[in-house]
Amino acid sequence: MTETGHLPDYSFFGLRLRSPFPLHSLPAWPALASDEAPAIELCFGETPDSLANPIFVQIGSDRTALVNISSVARFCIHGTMQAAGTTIIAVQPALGAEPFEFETILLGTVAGIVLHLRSLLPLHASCVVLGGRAIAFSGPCASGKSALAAALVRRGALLLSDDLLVSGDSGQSVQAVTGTTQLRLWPDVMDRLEIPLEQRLPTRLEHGKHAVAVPAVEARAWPLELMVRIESAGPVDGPVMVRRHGLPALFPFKELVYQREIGRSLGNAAREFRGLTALANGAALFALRRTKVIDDLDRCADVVLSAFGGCL
Amino acid sequence: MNLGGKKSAPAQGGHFGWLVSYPKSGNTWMRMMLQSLRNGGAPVDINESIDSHILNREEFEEHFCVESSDLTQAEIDAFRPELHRAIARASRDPLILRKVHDRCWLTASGERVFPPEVSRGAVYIVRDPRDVAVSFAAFYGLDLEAAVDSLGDSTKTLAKSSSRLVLQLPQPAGSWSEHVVSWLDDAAMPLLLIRYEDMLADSVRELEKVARFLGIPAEACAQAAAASGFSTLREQEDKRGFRERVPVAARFFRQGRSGEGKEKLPIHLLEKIETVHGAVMKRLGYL
Repeated sequence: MTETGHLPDYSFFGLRLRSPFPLHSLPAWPALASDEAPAIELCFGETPDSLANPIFVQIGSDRTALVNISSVARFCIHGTMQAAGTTIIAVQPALGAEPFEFETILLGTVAGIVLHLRSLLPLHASCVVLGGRAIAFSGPCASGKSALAAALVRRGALLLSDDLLVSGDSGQSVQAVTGTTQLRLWPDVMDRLEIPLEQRLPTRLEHGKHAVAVPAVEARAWPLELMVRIESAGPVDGPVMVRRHGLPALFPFKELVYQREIGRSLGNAAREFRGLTALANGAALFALRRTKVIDDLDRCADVVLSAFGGCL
Repeated sequence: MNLGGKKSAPAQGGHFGWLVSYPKSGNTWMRMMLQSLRNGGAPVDINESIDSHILNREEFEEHFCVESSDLTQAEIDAFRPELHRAIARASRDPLILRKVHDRCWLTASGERVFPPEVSRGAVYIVRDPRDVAVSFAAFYGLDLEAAVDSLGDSTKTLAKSSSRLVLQLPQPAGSWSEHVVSWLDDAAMPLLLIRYEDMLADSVRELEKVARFLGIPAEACAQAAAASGFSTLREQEDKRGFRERVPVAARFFRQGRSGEGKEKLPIHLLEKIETVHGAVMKRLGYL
């Protein structure tokens, strides 16, 4: 607890977040930047009846969003488009839900909506930092984004964010903003990387995916050097990195942009286009063509590191 | 002979044409023929994306804007019917072909997973379970005994794993007999029964039946069947592999013939199949 009686604030994808309960997968808000008011405040509270029981997600005409995972919690998000405004997330936990379960939903589905509501560009990507520069992995569902990030962390990289990544641009360079400090991995990857059982934390009750705390970077923006799309289409002899150029290298956008339909429904299409253009122009783009099996994970890490070295 | 397809009148209305089968029963072959047919009989590349894929997590996430890997299987299962409706609402194509390995099942709250109101009809492809068992064993790297047991497993759910993330959504399949009966007797939609053995005997004729049933122009059936003949697909796999092959299988397009089960299964396994599945086999003319 701080002198003011609340928990230390967190960095929520570059935004200052205040929470009445501890969050285990977000970095602390940097002390030097502490004058800023929280951009996001979490609180316990009833969610309005006017938003009944949507199928998972509903965005109201007043930009109030409701996320309903009935066995975990309802999250009511009072949105703002203003950079200076505060976003309130009211959490109404379900009876019997574990705290780690609503942290799981908070830092996935809810986080994506909050970032769209604040006109940021959330990408469906995992990202690590090596030698002060970031490498991000995008790709279809189950292509191995988190697994590859984990393989690089084992080789000394620091985690910048898992599964959800905010990128921005400052002048000529494209930046990746720190997100979560835990990787969310499935047993096949954790076994392959020999992650001890005691380090595997649950994300949901009776669920295979686990959270693993790993060395993470200092909370700030880092230059994004490499953007790698993992492709499992077609049999290949072994993993290869193929250089790509321009916006088409980021296709399909609906795969790359997290919850893209929400961003578009909120009128963020122009912002998305600017962000993706900056990404295409600012980072070195590659496709990593690999087979489906997990057995090539180390070889994938090798070819990524080789390409990364060539870009420095 | 009445093979059980009680509602084989041409299907009308609805978006979905479900291409249903128990695994290893010729579904992929039929999908390739239909892909070619819808492109006027054009050649098919087995490693290009085929329109009629199995429902997957990406569609779930796209339509519901939720991270599917953070949900339990029960939470995903409960919204399968609504996902089908959402896909139908969003589709610009009046006919959506989808491969299905699920049995015809209901959610925990009793809702039909394959909603009749968005379904044009189901094409059910069936194959002699003795041949399915041999193909199943080769595909999944099982011995024949384990494959035969798997065909009798009422609890079988495909793509269900707590050890790894799987792109496809979990598909309750049940045993071979349960699978067949669930669709033939309780689909609540127009249904066309196709036998794999008949596809082998005359693929053009069977493709024409499917095309007429689903309302697809059938003029190019001969070209489509030629462009996606078993030997053509096998040749492509020889040259460049096939991404739907699982690592333990030597190949996906393997023999493409009937009668292999009777040749390769030992007597006690043939008897086991007849004991467990005999009633449905008789109904389909396999006994």
